[in-house]
Amino acid sequence: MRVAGRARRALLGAALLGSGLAPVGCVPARTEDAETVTFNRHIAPIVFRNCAPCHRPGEAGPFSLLGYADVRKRASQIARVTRVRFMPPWPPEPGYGDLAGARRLTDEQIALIQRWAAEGAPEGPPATAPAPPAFTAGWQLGPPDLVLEVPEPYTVPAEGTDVFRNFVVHAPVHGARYVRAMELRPGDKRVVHHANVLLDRTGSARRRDARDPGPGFGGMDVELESDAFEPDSHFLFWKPGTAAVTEPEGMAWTIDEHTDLVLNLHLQPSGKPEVIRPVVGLYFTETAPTRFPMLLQLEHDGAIDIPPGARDFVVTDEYTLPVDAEVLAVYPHAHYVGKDVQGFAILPDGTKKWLIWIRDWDFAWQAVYPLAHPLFLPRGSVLHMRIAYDNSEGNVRNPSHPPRRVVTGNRSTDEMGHLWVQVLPRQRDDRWALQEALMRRRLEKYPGDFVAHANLGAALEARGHAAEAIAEYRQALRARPESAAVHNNLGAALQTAGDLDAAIAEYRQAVQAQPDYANARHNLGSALVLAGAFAEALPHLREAVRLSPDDGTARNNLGGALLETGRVAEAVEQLRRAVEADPGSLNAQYNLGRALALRGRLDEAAAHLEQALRIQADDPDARRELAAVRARQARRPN
Amino acid sequence: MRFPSSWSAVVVLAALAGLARAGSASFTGVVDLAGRRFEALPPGPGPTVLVFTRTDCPISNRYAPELRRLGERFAGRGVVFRLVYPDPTETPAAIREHMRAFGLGGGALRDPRHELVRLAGATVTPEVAVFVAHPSGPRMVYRGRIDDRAVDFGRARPEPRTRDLADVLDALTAGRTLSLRTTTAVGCVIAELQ
Repeated sequence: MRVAGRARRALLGAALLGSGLAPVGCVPARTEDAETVTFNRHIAPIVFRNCAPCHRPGEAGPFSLLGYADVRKRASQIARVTRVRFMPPWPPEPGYGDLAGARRLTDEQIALIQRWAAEGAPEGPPATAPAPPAFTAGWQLGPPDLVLEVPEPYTVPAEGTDVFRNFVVHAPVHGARYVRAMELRPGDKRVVHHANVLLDRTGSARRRDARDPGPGFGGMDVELESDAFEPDSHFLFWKPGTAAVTEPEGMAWTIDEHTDLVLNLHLQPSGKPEVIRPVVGLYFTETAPTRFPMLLQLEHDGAIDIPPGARDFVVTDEYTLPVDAEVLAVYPHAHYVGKDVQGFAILPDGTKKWLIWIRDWDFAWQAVYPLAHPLFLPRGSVLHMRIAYDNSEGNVRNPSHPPRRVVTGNRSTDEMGHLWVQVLPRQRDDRWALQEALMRRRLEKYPGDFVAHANLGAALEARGHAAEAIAEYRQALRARPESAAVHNNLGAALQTAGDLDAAIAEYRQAVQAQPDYANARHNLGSALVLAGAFAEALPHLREAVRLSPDDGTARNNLGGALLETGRVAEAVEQLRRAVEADPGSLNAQYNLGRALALRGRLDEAAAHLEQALRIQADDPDARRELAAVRARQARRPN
Repeated sequence: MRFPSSWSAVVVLAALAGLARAGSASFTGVVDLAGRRFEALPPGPGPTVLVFTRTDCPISNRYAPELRRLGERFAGRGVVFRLVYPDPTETPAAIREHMRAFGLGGGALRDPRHELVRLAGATVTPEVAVFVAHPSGPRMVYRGRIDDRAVDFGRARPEPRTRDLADVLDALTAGRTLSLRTTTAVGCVIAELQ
């Protein structure tokens, strides 16, 4: 028999996400000094373009700005909030990063608004009145292919500090689906300040939700275990004014039946209890992704230990790109004590390229910022993060009064300092080089760190450095000896290196540490099959199949082990299901053909062996087996 | 001695020494939600708090729970709270719905001609003005913020450090005499009438 599939690896790490903004640009308005500034001619184009997308019914703005009457009665308010640039909200400093969708008024536009308000907010001749802005009602991209709703409504309390709540939604799909766009309807947009959507493929968020009373679970930031390297490459971020998060061509993200969407919401009390029930609309494409970006996290949370009263406590991190890559988007993240946030790159020739600079960090207006144009960074470029914190009494947003020592953590009184950078390397596999460099940098910051050693092991293994990978996994196990995922990965690396006995020993430890770990059961069972211990393999493979009923590879291996232990009827049943789950599997077709031949069902056997040869025409085992079946068919009495 | 049974805005003007610039002898346009005219501030021996607000100001609305607490705390001590809605386009029905949704009690007044706005010198919502009875007519002793939670647009403390209105009412209900104090309130600008 043949065992299909490489041993499965687990990848550990933090995932934190979120994209897509559809803010609007600026309309240059020109006026001559002598001309009267009027709503119709000068102000309406500015307001309709920059304010109305949020200031209209159902959106985040507290009142509508859709016509002269709306705007006139708030003229002095609008003058004031635009003068101090509180509105429209656009925290990045102009000229420090080429960001898409800048929602920032020009000095000239602000001056026009001031003049108009001061001169009594005249309407102007009716003939010059612009058409009121038109907006699409309902789903912005039309009816979604799949609508997911948070299971239970959640009530935001009337007052108190901001609420951070996470809701887990399961995607009822079968097989892989590629998502080209996502639209989030968060509920009351005046309450939901921003939302990050994370993909959880391990059920870890669901398990956490079950432990937390009430709908969802609390926490500003979510850390998820990730079983695969793929999913955490997209920012799925919603803020007021975001229509839909649409991925660039070729960059769809994948969900399957094991995927949960985790909605990480920042909620602001409004003065009355507010009931929200977010809904997510997904838009699919049949086209599998062809371009694979990666999220790089710059951070040094371990260095955050801010004494009370410190006004300018600086945390930095840097990361050297091991390969060429384009920067697509950035997402800075700090909490309430954060003050000044900078992200930039230094190219090998010394050129400094700004990604973003926020001089007056405001947690409430954090966002993912896609670049207007991808920024190419050659190999050897260094990404930099610099975040300054103000833990003094003078920082009104300081959650502690009087100020207290602030360290890193997930509560609003704790701090974080992250700069997520979405990069697109030239090749998909370049991401392993990016990951290796990321983990080596992490080890410089945190010697002996479990996650870094574990992920470095996986990256090295993927890059073909098995011996180094084994050493890294062993280091990870020194930090966390009971880690089922790392025992499993170490087993897989040892198996690749040809040490089957040592591999089996590691798989056994993985299964012992976590009996319901499907991949470890699968690997242990399959390795025992390879070692010829078929009977011993059976219970593990049965368990693997029970835990992952749709896993064709596990069924194939179970079928094979059953065949080897003489349970031919049961083997046929399992192998049929293996072929059903994965008709393109050479091994499953071959094994089923062989099992059917043993049952004397020669015609069916021949059909599956022929199918195997269609998948791989020169497969010697299938050829030999088919020849034997044909010979038996020829001898068969008519 | 006897206090006047109703206060005259003319006397208030004199007492405020120019702080309020009311233009008429008594209010002509201040009405409650049933449309009944209010010719003067509510009479009584205790302090009267005018709370300038509007239905769609998020900064005002976030104060609803605090206003409710203050109302409960001082109701037994003779303090009268009146919500004042200065936007002439806000209808009684919209105001009733606003009060219901945010659990705001006490009486509400509409001030479409900004007589109370001018009397108090209010400029934003939320902003409060506290009046006390005086032999020569009601006298304003405080105008400004409820507390110092809001520092500027988009800049708010997680918790207030100074609870200005509560401190004023504590002092008054403890029998102390206060002279006028003002603070700067942060909120939605009360638009001038056209």
